[in-house]
Amino acid sequence: MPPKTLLEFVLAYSRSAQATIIAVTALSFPIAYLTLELPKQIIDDAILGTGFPRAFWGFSLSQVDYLLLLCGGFFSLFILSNALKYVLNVLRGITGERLLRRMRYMLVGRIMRLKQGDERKYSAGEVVQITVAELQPIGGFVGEYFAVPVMQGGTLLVYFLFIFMQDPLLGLASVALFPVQAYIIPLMQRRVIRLTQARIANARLLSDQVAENVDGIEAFRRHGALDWRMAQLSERLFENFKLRYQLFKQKFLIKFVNNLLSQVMPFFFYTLGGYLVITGRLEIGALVAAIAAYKELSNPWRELLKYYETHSDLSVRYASIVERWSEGEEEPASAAGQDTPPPPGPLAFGPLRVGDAAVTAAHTVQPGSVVSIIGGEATARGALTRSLCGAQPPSAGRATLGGRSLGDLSHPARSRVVGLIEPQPFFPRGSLRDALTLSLMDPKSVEPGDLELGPWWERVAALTVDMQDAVREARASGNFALDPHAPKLDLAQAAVEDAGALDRRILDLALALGVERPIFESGLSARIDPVRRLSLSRALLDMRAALTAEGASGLEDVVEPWRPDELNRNAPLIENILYAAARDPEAPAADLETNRELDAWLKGAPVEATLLDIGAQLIEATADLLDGQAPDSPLLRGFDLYPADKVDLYRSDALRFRSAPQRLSRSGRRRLLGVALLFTPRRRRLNILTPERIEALVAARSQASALILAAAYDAPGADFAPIRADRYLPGLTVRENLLLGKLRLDRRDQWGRINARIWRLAKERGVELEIAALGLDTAIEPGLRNLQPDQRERFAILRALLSRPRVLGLDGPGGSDSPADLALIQNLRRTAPETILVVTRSAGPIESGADVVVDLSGAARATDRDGAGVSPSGSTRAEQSASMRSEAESQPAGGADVA
Amino acid sequence: MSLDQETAALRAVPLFQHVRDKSLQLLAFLAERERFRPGEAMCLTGELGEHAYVLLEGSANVLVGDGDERRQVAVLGPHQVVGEIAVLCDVPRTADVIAADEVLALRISKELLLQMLAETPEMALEVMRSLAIRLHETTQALQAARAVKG
Repeated sequence: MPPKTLLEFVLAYSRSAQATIIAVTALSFPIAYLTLELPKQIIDDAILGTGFPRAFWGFSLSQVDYLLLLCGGFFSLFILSNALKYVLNVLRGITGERLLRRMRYMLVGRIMRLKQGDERKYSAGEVVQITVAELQPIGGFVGEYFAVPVMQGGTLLVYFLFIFMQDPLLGLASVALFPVQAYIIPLMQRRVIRLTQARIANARLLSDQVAENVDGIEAFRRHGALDWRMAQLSERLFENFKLRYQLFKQKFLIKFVNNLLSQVMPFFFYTLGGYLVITGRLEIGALVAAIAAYKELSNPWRELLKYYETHSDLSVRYASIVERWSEGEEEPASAAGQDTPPPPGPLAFGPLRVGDAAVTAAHTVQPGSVVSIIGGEATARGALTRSLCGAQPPSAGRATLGGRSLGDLSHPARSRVVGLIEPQPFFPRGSLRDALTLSLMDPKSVEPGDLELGPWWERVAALTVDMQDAVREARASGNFALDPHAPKLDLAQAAVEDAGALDRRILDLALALGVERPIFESGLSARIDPVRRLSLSRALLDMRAALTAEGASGLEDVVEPWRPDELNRNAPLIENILYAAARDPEAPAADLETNRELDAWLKGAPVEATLLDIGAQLIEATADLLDGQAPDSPLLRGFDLYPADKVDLYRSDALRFRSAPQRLSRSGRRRLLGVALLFTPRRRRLNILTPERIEALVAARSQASALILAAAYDAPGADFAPIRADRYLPGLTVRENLLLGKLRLDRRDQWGRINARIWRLAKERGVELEIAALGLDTAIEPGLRNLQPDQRERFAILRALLSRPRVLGLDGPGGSDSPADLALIQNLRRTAPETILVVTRSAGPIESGADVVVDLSGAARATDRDGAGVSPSGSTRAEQSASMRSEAESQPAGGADVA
Repeated sequence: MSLDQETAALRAVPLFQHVRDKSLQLLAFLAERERFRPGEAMCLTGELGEHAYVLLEGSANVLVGDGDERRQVAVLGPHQVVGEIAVLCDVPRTADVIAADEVLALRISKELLLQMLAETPEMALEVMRSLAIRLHETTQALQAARAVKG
């Protein structure tokens, strides 16, 4: 938790930096005084003075030499003072940015460490608003927390001193009104503070509401409540307007009063100073110098007032943030023993009450057993499952594992022994491997030291920035210095030796759970650099040879292979005429505006005329379709021949090409060629390819390879790599490389067959793990939304199983009697034989091997079971004996209800 | 089959009869064409439906149930729509659709179909009508099946 006030925060985390800033600031005062003093010397002594030549440090100086010396000194002083200003600004910037980083880190960190459920006291919109927007100005300010008052206050004092040196009476006059200002301004500022507080509160409500609007957009739209929401938003904005209006009015009022008071001062100067000069008690030169110095005074004074305003504004803001952030309770720092997982032992619970669920008996569940939670409301069953996994504290009673209460375990310790699968599992952005190894992130890694809290020499040394050294910079802001791209994994927890074995284990679990396909398929869609992955690319080339050898047996029905003398209708024309694939799939290879080499080669090549003709015809065939479509119509989203909003431009290019091709502009020609180059015949059913055109396109291949490719193939940075049976092509996916062909666009539903075929071959060749590893490296769609819901659940189970939990709660999967659910439970018993499964069952208890059954339907059901032979749920005799066994174990606790 | 022919084929589908010419042409242009060999599945029960098909050539059998319970409930031919329920209602596929012979179909994505519905109110009406008819047919089939069993 950050300190309560901004001052405490600044002192706690930047004391040495602020001290350094003050020291450098102090250095600048003598220089400031000298810059006032030297001009006086130059005029009075060097220009108007007498008695030259003068001796100066053993040199004899003429008047001109003396003048030059003083002016040179004056000039050097300016350089020095500006250099000092630069150093000061950089120091302030570093300090401010570090404090800002620290504050953001602290605030988000606290939210992440909150006790279970307390995070609901914060809304996402509010947290974003506070950590991103509200903190920003504070960050800029804290760097100059002491620097500005010291600097400006000091400058003010220097000027006062100077005026006092001219005449004490004038000096007094110049400060006469400052006490008045110092009294009135804070008085007026108080209203500003109140308004600021209201504005901050309103801004948070506003961001909350905006976040809710975005989250609930579907619901508001469906119910036709958009206008109502917008009216609410409008009201909030009006509130914001009112507050801001009052705020700036008050601020301008303060400015007005302040200006007025400072304008009164010259009045004193002229009357009092004039009187003193007339009565002969003051030199006219001194009065002019004093008036000049007074003019200089207004600058630091204004800065000081501005600082005061900002200070009070931001202090309020800081205090309000810290106050808001004090809601909820942080997970206590782990006390002794809480951080270690409990010793091996059974899961024991009951009697206990959680949510709507009441367990009347005491149960002891041995490792490897299954707990079926049946009866009662679905929410009650879910709450009990969560509670047995330590995710929801019981309101009465407790659940223990190995004799230790689950609720008392720290987050890291609990994560090592318990897994819980809930509906709609969460998967963060990143690679699939990161999403799956979440359960293995090593909680034992400790935060490194904080430079700001270290010895003073370290703190001063930290005032320089080394952009390369992220770890030192993290320490300077009290951040965690773990490399997020290579997180430390607790391999021992997964019982594997190294990263390779971990991949093997992930794949084995995926196979057991039936989700190996998505992993393998994303591996097939990955791209590798054949130079860096030499052995893998060779193995893949061998597989390619094997696949093409057995090619006749059905592959061609789904894949169109590349043949040197045939057009590939499932590939874009650019690949067809070059008989090559782009090396970088992200680069706009067919954009002739940037790819000048290709452009130059096309110019005058025999195929150019054919391509222009095709481009023009494509535009003619489609331009009319786009007329009358709203520019934002989602129908147009699928249109990718050319930008739909530029249809008129393309149409006129095509017209020009038909009527007067010699007058077609250079960029117009490139546009027509671009449309043709990206055209994939099979994808767009426009009967455009006549035999003559096909012949021209295929003929281009020989020229292309001779012209741009032969020399460039191995050259890094070359745009295209030619298609050859003995080469691995970096721009193509692993799958395309294996097939040396294009998947047929009109056989999309059968593509899976190809994957199965490759999978089989990969297993034979022993490269399936390497391909799967590529899949694990692939970035996932947010939340794995591209997968079926049950596959998402399986991945969540896989993730939980990786850390070999002693208790695995299933709230959702495995809950019904469907074949898939029953198979899942069987699978889990086989893959994790020592794990206790806690299953929320919407159907009856699990048919075989359900060692403990917890029935939440209440006492009536229990009587039924004890009495007649048939229970209302129609369970079998075996189940009843199982449940009775579990009831029998309740004897010691007496089976009394928990009140 | 050219774009014009495909547009004409789409026009013959009751679902699309009220869609504007331009939109229908664009739909025909944007929708991908897909082929199925006899016996290949177009839809499988329980899968999430991300697209619907309009049959252009060939026919497909609609099957429900597993193992012994498996029954053919309909045969679909050219100009008929396959799999639109899962797309429109956001439910898993409700039946298996298996190509009976060589099938050529237009694959229409969920996004595209929903946009067409928003643009053409008559289309929504047509969807309702066809769903109602299908409900009626299903109910009758169910009664017939009960009669046989009973």
